[in-house]
Amino acid sequence: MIKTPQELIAARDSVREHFFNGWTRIRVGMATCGLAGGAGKLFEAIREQNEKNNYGFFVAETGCNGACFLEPLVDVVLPGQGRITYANMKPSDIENLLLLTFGGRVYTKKAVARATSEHLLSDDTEIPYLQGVIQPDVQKVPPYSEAPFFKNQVRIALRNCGIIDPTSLDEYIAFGGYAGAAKALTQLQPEDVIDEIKRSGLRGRGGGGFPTGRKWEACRKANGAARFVICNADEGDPGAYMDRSIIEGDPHSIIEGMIIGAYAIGARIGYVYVREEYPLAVKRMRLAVQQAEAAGLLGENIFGSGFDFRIRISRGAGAFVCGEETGLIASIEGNAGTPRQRPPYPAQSGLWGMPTNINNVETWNNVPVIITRGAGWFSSIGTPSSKGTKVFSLVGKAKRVGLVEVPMGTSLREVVEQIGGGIQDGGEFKALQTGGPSGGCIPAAHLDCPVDYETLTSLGSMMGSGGMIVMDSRTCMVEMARYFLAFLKEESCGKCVPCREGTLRMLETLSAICEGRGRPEHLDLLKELSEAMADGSLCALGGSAPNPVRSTLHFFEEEYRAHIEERRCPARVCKALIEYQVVRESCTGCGACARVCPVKAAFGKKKAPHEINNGLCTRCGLCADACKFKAIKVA
Amino acid sequence: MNNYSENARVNSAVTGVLGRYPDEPASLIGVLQDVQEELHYLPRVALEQIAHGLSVPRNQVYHVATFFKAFSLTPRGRHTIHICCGTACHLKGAGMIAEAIQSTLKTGDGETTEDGSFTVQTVRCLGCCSLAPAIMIDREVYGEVVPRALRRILGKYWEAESA
Amino acid sequence: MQFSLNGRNIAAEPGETVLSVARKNGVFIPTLCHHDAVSPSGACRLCVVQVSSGERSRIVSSCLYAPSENDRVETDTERVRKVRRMVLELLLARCPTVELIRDLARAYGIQRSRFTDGAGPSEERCVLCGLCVRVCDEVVGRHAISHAKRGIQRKITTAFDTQADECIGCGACVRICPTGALHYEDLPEQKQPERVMVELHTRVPLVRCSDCGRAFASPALFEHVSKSVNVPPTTLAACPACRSKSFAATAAQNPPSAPAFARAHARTYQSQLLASINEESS
Repeated sequence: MIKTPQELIAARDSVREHFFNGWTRIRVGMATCGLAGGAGKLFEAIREQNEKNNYGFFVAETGCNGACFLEPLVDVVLPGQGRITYANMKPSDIENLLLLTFGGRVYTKKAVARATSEHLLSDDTEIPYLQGVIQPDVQKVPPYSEAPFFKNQVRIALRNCGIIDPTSLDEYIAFGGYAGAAKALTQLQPEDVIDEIKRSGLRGRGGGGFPTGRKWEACRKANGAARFVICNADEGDPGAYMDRSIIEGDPHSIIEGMIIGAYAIGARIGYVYVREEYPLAVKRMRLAVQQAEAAGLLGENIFGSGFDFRIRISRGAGAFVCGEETGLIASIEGNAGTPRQRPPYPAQSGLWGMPTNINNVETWNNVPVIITRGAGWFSSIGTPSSKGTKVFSLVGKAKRVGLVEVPMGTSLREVVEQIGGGIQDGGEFKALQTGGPSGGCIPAAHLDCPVDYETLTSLGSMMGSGGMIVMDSRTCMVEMARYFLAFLKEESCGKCVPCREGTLRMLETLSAICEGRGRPEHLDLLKELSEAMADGSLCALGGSAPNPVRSTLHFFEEEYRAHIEERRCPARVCKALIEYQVVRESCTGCGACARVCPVKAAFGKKKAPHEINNGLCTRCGLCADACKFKAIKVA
Repeated sequence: MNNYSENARVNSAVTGVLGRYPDEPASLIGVLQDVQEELHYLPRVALEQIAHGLSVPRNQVYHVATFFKAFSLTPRGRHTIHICCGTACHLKGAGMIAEAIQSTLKTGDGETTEDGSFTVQTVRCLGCCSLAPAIMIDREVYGEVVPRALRRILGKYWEAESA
Repeated sequence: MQFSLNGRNIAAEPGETVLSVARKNGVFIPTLCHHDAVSPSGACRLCVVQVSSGERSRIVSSCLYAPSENDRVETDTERVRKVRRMVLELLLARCPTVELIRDLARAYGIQRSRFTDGAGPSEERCVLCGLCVRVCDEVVGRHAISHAKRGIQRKITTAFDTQADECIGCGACVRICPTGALHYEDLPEQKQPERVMVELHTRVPLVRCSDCGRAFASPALFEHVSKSVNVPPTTLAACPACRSKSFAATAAQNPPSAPAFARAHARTYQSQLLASINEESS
């Protein structure tokens, strides 16, 4: 039990001692992405070798350090080496890794970065790993500050992800965890906490970017018999997964943020609304809440301050619209996640009609360090209107994909080119999609723009929750718009006419264009419909549903015209406007294409060049995937 | 299994889940999730029992159960294949994966194979965008899936089925 | 509380909606999903108005929006009309045979919807305004009608799409429906007379009038009415026609039942609505 700030410091120091001066330790990145990359087998292999050879090291799991393109990741912490990160590990690598490591060497083939110390953000201390004689091998591994992908990043939200064991409350505390809650509850008045958050300039990380301090203040000032805080962990934007990663890698940071926020607002009960499609995140969050309860960090009289706070977990059941605050509230109350008109805002009338404050995962996670380090420190990072850092999920056609955290104001180009390493397979950059289905596509001409809330909005996109999808010349912008509208049509709650009927008709129109049935007047119809949906929809889902169409029409109108006027898809994506052809010179007649073709459109004699009957072909692309000789081309 | 014992099984599952939640409307979605987890779908008798147990009108239970994509009112396969349709996966060929899975298993989106082994369902995003395209079978995620790897992945489950 | 409505300064009770104030002041705003007997929903988006405060102006639904001090509310700007026109064009594509939608669309200058070319004829009459669900939940208190599914698949039905035993066959849903999407049919000649709620998969038994013998209402409805207006069920055993004969004097003082209220209101409101639109656009 931790009943006072002094006990927290004592706990912190004792675990720190162990963490930095302890035994050799091996960590496997076991967030969902790591597991999908095979981390589970790796973990078993390490454990097996450890037992077989009596190495006697500790093996544990950690979250994702963001470098998903390097999964599965293994960290080895060893006196004399510090922490070395090994990437793309396979079970067959483990024997060599351990032989070399315990022979005093480094498995340089797979080592990608090293840390000789850790910077503990919460209290701004740098603690070195116990250093022996630095081995020459170690010098060959770039430090994190110089390693590609990592060097351009500044980590606040991801401060602990991939370093600490997310199932260990002790390690969170060792890294300065719960110090913010201790400070807020025992040294600050609720108004002071709100003031600190206001001065920090923190804005909501989940969508519109509303100033967090002002939101808290409105909720605190509203009349109500009870107040609630909610963590929106129903991460909905396809292409964004930082919330999943934060919950899986650092769940206590969210609990701590919520304790601070609840204290400032005057709430006694908090809800974490987490997607059920994230089973591991649900599990980690549950465990963290249990641990915090057992340690007295949730419950009655936290830190002896007289403040009581509990957290309940609600699981989302698969509805994007529940990311909308009023839809989320309806769902916690046991109703279908149908939004209602705002105002009144949840700050006045939310859960069961009581003042309610909703922030997303990344916002809550930023709060503890703002309290320990101060508003001045936080607001020194970023731009005049957008403070701090933002985590982006850089995915799609970039060379290096994963979660990246950069100060607000960093240029899009730096994110895509420096961190992402440019386009994979030598392709050409075409557009960057940000903000999920409510966002838009930003073309190459605007790559030098800084990332902040206002700039992205002015480009017809938005920050959203931080999805950043890199598109190359093989991405059709009309088809992209069609994809998002198909998504939104499925996710519309169906309550209001502009969204329910509008997404359907918009999708039908875009489908007509993609299928070669487009007509010139469709462009005006799309524009008109966009305007009415933006203005007339009941909630933000419908209101922003036209954004994918608007932004692609704005920047890539010629591509729409090519589909309509020339019946041509310049990116060669739209099935009705393309054909699969065999390159006769490259075809060896192996028959792989004919074997996989579900409609028998690919045919030919053994060892003779094959052919594709485009009358039968459904353009599923399986033949091109199956061809080892790249002999099937799209024309 | 006859109707009577099936109903008894549903009844005991629902009673067990209801026992873990307070009798209030706010418990509805959690109860539905847990019941679905146990029975793999939400049979009508279960929904009637839940409505009664939580004092929620049947029309609300029905609306909620048909609103959320996670719920199914018809029996599901022993394994559920979630095909991620997130943006990154879409860009990297999720459509092709979906077609390949559906043609291999001879089933459409949201449908269950004839032998009751798999239900195929597209989902909005599994949050594994860096490993696109991704699929999740039950709770196991597979990344960077290519059509030709599907038989190997599915084979594991087929083997377990026939064993 | 003062705000301006189409340039006129108007006093309103705090919390009162723009729609309510507008009606009191003779300013017409079209609606489809609003009814005074039930809670507002904001679903149809036909009643949108433009609200400006300071430099900012936005579109809100007047059935839900309570103006703040010094708001400037405009009910018929071009921006408002654009939303209404698109809503009607979308609804016309969904329900091309519904007279009310066609009339409203015509009143806003829409003869045909651009979204329906190539589509087959649609017999859909339901615009999903949800009035039937709300009247059954809130006024009748039976919860017999359910929304189901979401998005374009959203529909009005009963739980499990089958017989709703909650239904008392009162017909409030049928009468409140603005587009004639719900019907009931009485089968008085059957051995056990029934009322069939056609679209709601439900049959409700009817009893015969104690005087004339005509099958006219369900026992459940008797029970419901007897409880809600506190009269003994025996008073209700005669059909309204026979009852008004024998209790002419008292019947006149009885408060109207919800269905009758809904019918009276719906009729006058719809005719009002069309009349005033025609007036405006002429």
